[in-house]
Amino acid sequence: MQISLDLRNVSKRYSGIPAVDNVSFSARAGEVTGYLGANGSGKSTTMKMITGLIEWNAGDILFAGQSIRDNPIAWKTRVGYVPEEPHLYTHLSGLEYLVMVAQLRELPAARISGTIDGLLHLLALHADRDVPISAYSKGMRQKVLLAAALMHNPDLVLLDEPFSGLDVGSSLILRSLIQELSARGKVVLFSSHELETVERICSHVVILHRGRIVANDSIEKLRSLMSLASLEDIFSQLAVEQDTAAISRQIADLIHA
Amino acid sequence: MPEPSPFRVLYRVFWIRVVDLEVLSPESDTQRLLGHIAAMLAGISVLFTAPLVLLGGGLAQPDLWTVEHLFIATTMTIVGLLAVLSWESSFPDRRDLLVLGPLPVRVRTVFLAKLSALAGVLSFSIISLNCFIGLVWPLFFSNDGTGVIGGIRAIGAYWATVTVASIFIFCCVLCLQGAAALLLPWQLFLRLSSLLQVCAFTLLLGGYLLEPSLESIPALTAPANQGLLNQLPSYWFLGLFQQLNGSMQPAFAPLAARAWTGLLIAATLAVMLLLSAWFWRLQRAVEQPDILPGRSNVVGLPRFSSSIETAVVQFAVRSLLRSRQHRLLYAFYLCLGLAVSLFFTGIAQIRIAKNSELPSPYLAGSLMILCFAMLGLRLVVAIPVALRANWIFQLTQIHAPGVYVRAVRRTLFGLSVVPAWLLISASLLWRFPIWPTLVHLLVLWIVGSTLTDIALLSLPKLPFACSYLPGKAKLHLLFWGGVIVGIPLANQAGLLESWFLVSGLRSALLIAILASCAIGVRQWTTHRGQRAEKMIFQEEETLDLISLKLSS
Repeated sequence: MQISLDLRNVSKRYSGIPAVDNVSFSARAGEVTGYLGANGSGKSTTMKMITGLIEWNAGDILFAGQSIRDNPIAWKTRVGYVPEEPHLYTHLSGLEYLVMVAQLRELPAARISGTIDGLLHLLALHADRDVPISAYSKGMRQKVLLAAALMHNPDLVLLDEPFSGLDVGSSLILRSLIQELSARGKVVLFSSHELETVERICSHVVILHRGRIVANDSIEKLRSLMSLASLEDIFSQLAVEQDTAAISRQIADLIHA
Repeated sequence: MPEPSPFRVLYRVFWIRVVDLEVLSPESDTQRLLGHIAAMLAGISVLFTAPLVLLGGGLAQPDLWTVEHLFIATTMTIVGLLAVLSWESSFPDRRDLLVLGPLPVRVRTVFLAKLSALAGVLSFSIISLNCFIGLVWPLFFSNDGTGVIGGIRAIGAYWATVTVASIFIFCCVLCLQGAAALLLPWQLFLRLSSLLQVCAFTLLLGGYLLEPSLESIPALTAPANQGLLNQLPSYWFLGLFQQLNGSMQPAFAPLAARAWTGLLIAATLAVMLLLSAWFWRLQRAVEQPDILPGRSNVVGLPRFSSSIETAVVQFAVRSLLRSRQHRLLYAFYLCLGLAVSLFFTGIAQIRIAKNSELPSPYLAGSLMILCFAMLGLRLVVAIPVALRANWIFQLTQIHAPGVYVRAVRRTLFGLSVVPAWLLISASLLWRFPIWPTLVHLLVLWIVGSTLTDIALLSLPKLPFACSYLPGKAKLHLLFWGGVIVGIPLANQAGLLESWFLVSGLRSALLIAILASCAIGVRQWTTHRGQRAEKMIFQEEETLDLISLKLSS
């Protein structure tokens, strides 16, 4: 049976205000699912519900046919998560942080140093492994998060804006890595504002607007259904309410005044 | 409305930042926090003024000097502690350079804004602390028969004295930091800065708590006390107050002279160091690279058979060692514990000549150190080191809470009981007979273990990784309640223990009783840990969005 992540009519409300409203979609192993939406559309809330960081109010989330609520502790061993904001313990060094995460995940001691050392080398962090994270750039922090999310070989990889702050080289590596993980049978759910990247690596996209799904299909199918040339056009039509050209003109007018 | 000048804008920004608010409360509402500080200082002022109602002002001269000295010493200590907390706000820092560098603002404007902000905070703390004291008490300090004029002069003298005393102590702290910044290589200065801050904090608090009472003519003139008086600035400013108040006695004259000299030296040095820092160190700060090579600090930290325990304990150790806020708070509680212990030890000095056995005040004093270390740590670990980063602990919780509670127990025991116990062992073993000392150390170990389990009762929470509600003062109340009730209780416990230590049989009985209690409490906390469904990372669920419910 092919492993998949299934969200079934999931809703999350904050004081009665819906942040995620009746969301249902599936992300299958072997394909990269893009999860798109404007700021505040509910993408990160969905990601946090899938990781178990926040509870949902209605519906269910299943992985391989089993509700993740059945055994939340076992579930955490199968998830790797890169959050939207790089919130880290900045008083620790990159190495100390990764070792701590590995220990908390109870990775075998023999594996910890090899895996972390390898990840640090491959992500070009090895030279700065003993520097406190407080001195790291945004891209370096993002790499630490990525290493922490992947070191335990998770079945589900949740990436919330993973390209944020990365330089060109690292972005290209990450792009290939996402495809590689997917090819190795991982379920990859990937959220980004970089629509070009999404278009290149995702086979399937879910577009969220104000907490509701407005599109859920393969990019090819969406293109042909909507008779639009690119994902950017599709996204603009479905999830962007503002007249972007008019707003940019107004900004320019304002600073000239 | 006229546009605010860059100076005024910067002054407002620096004013809020002068007291290192990251140290006091990360991510806090700064205005509210400053309001709390002002209210707390004014509260102290009320507390010191209240006895007047009871005493009706009927104090004789030596007692009045004691009161005058108390107020001056308290003001100096509080201003000194504020100066320590404002450690990095007086000198130019990298953040200022990066933020203000691209803006068309002169260095001179930034410097003057910082200086004005410092003066503002200094005035704020002096006025808050003395708002009641400084208007009521000086009326009783005036010379007899001088009437209204004498009263007004006393008020003026009091305010002038506390102001110059505060400037003196503030300048001393500035000098310490400025001299270190100038003399040490930049990287070494950054490393030593935190250590210096803790040392200055401990020195100020320890000095205030342990300062001897010398406010009488015989004590002030005794040759044996002259060396001590020369080292205690609060007495210099007591002399200065007498001079300004017109109530000078010959015994105060050298102290007043020392106050003027000290003030002159400290102020001159501080101004010179500030100027050189702003026009020389500035360049050093600009030129430092963004990322400096670090050194591995893995060696020396404890490791356990369970990797989760290792992770939790190492995280706690690193957080305590590297977070200034936590380190200072813990140092504060340890200072108090040490002061109480020294108080007990002082009592014991009287008896020690007569009795070579382990005296009961030593037993009580060492017990108090242990209790203060545990209480202090328990309070400190409740304050998160980086609230938003706690998600990683939530995401990696792969066992039931019981496993993590065990790790927290090790952390609390290792960071409070073990160092306190080692310190006590080192101070007792070389001095007292081996057998009762060993029994006492065993007693302390068991009591420490029990205290650790008691501290775990409100968990399962990981150290430094649970939200802290600033309004939740229960623990602090418990702490201060513990101090008030704990000191006489510790005294009684010391007496009881010394009775048990007289014979081997009694000692064995004491150990058996304490061990039974420890086992009972351990089983209770273990049971609670096993029953807990999940670890707590938030004291109370905060809502990201608040509904105005306009539709209902």
